[in-house]
Amino acid sequence: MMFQDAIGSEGESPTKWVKTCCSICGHNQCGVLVGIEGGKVTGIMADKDDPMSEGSICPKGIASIQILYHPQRIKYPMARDGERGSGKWKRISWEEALSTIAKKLNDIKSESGPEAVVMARGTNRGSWIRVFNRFANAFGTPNWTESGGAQCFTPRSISQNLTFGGIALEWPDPSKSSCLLVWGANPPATWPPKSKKLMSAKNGGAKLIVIDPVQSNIASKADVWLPVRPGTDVALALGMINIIINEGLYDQAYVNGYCTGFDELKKRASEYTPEKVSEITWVPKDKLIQAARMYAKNSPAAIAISATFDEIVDPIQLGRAVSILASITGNVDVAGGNIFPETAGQVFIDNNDFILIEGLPAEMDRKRLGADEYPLLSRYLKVNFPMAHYPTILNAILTGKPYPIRAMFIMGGNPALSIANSQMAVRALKSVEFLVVTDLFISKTAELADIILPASSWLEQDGLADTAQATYGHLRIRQKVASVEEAHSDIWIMIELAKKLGLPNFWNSEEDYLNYILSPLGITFEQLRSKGGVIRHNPDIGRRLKEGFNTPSKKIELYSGRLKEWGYDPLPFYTEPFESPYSTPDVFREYPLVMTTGRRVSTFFHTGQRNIPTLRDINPEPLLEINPKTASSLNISNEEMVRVETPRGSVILKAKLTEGIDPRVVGVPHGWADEANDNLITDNSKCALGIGTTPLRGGLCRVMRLSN
Amino acid sequence: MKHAVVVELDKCVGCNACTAACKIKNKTPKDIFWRKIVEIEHGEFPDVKKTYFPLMCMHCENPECLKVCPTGATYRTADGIVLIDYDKCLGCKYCIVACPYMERFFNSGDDWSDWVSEGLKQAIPKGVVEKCDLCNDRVQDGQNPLCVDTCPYDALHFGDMDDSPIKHLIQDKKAWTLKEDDSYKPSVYYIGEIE
Ligand code: SF4
Ligand code: SF4
Repeated sequence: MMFQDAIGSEGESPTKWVKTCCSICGHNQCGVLVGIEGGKVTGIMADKDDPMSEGSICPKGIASIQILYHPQRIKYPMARDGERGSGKWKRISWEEALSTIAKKLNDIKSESGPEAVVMARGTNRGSWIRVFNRFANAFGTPNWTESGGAQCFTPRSISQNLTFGGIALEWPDPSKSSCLLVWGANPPATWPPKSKKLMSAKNGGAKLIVIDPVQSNIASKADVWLPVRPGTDVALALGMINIIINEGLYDQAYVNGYCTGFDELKKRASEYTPEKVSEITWVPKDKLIQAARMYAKNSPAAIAISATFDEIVDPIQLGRAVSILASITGNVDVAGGNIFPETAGQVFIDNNDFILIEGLPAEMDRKRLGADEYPLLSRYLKVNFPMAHYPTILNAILTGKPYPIRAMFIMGGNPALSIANSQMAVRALKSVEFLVVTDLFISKTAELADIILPASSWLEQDGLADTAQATYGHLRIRQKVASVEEAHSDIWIMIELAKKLGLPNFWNSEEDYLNYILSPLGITFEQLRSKGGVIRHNPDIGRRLKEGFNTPSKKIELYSGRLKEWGYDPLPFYTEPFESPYSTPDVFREYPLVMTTGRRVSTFFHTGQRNIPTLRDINPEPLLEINPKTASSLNISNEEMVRVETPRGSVILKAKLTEGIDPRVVGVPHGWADEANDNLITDNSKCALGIGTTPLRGGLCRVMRLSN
Repeated sequence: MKHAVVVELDKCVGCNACTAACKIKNKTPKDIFWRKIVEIEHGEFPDVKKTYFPLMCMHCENPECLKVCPTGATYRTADGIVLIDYDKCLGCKYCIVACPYMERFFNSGDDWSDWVSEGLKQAIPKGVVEKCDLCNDRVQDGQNPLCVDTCPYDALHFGDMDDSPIKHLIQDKKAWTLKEDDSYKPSVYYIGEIE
């Protein structure tokens, strides 16, 4: 490696470069080189030799050095030393912290039952989230959840699994694609390795279609950009399907060979004429037709998606419709199309076995909060781990119904900001009897805790970078290069707490855990480290075409018999957002702009990193994207502070005038705190059918100058 | 020998990885960017084209900053890098006014204090003018500037104008420079249209 003295080269001493994997965002896990000089981390750069990320990196990875050495890091366990939220803390030992937590959880368990304890996970901070599920099941509570939960990955996984028995939309295979369709995602900001693959294909001549209400980084490079009205994506997908079927552009041989339910689909799709779809989505008819033709005629074509698929009014239908679009054009399980994630590491382990799903008694499973109302999230298809429904949990904390929730253990999550309806989330966090939070910094959620545990960053951990979502199957190791006082990895914390609670089936150490994950490969972590720490993966493309898909019919189910059996529509259909110009005209008169919340930039992951100097310096303020015509009608100029109001509340943002957005739409950023927190204006009172998603795209708002 | 940077605008997606790498390496204070990405928009919704435009010190062959520097702190190396000797800089800011590209910054040190952490010690002394040094330390070592090596999209290229692939890139792809009609002769070239 020729990176000697690449960064921080003032001194004479040579820098040693260690290969490891970043995990600020948890899902990309870019391969990086960390420069170490005199025992200190002095630089971080992308590893061009990494088989997965191929030299990709984002500002967060590079600036992790400032996360490592940040003066505000939580350095040791702390107990509150005053009222909840008073900001007064006293240092305690790990022994005291873990014993106190274990005693309290056991007391609650014996007094009120294990279901009175909620385990709530946030992001994957280098550790495998499933360890948390395993812990919950071992402890005996069905109330395990994620801030992501019904808002990220689960809905799109369920819908893809229902359609073709896997999550092929997660893995576009751009290198051989003639066309790329990026839908509701901005990979340059959020998925650098995928973004690099997509951009290489685009620069090599592939067509690029981008669907996003805002002209994002990737949309700026598109051959066709469809600025869809937020939240109406299902209509758009059905409109494209209809055009493709009508014009005979679908892959007849593929449909005949591998799909079922085409005639039913054709009938349903015929309801979505280009005129009607254009009216619903605000996408001009000619652009809609152009995009449908471009995608269908340039084969193979690959689709890249992201969390928009989990944040609209009917995420199951969007995942279904776009899976179907890829299927009828013959782009599933083929090179250059969408291929099925199979990976080393985690996925060699049976997930349901791993989380000890059988260990949870049936009567507890029945008590899972939200499961009756949202069985797609928790009950029917056990591919994504039955989880409790976050808004239902908050409600239970506040009302004591259907039964009281007394404790919450939050790991790597910041629900005070990150989930819809912050007002309600904060009330619940304040009123729950016992709150434990693990984090790197004192977040808005940690502020309210009884006990805070210091978590470590990726630079302080040995581990495996092997998530199925983004790693294209390559298994790499993460290597510890530094430590911060008494901070520990999430895995270490779960293992030690499990010991204190006397939970069976946990490990003795992190190394035991890593070796367990690797055991199907017949290799230990140390052996893998000494062999260079990388196991490459060659995707087994076309296996389903030969052996059948993992669905009851062994085919791609355009018509889903399972959905029908469970009482849902077996074919995709469009639902107007709960709040919109058309569904709530009264609200629209008062709040005349359509809003999309959740805009992301490359420098921040969710609610994090606003305190990291370099990252904050690049994006110092929360920006409202607004069209200059709209702004001028409201007397708002560029960079002026504005108030955005919804029937729920208001936020204060800085106006960023851009022609890259429809004058009828505004874009609200996600993850900022205090008066810029977008979840002060989102709604969790009504959730998506069957899956429980709170819609974050397509509500209504009004915008005004702050000063008059 | 004359070093040059070539930016392929079609490839830059505005991810700011280069910006972050630059800020971390050079430990630049709040609000000081030796390089940055500017968004340029042309047209009206929905027919709008957005370009991400990387900006940095242009390392001019005829640097205006150098001409006005009273102390000789600003100088140009034989291989075409414009540098500042921070020991000689008085902080008079003449060069800031003179630079046609607004790529020189006064480091007042004021905005610094609450940003300091161990991994982020200020490198350039307070009270001087600072700017991109084209990673002269790396270049002398035979490496590329860090922004060039960081860009995941290969949007940035570095090399010797007299003898390297970038010479051909500049010719074949009709690269252009900012304020081309003036006499500054910048060493940063752009490929691609912004309209
Ligand atoms: S995308 Fe950024 S934060 Fe995520 S793994 Fe890559 S470098 Fe780290
Ligand atoms: S790293 Fe490359 S693509 Fe990203 S902003 Fe810089 S020049 Fe553009």
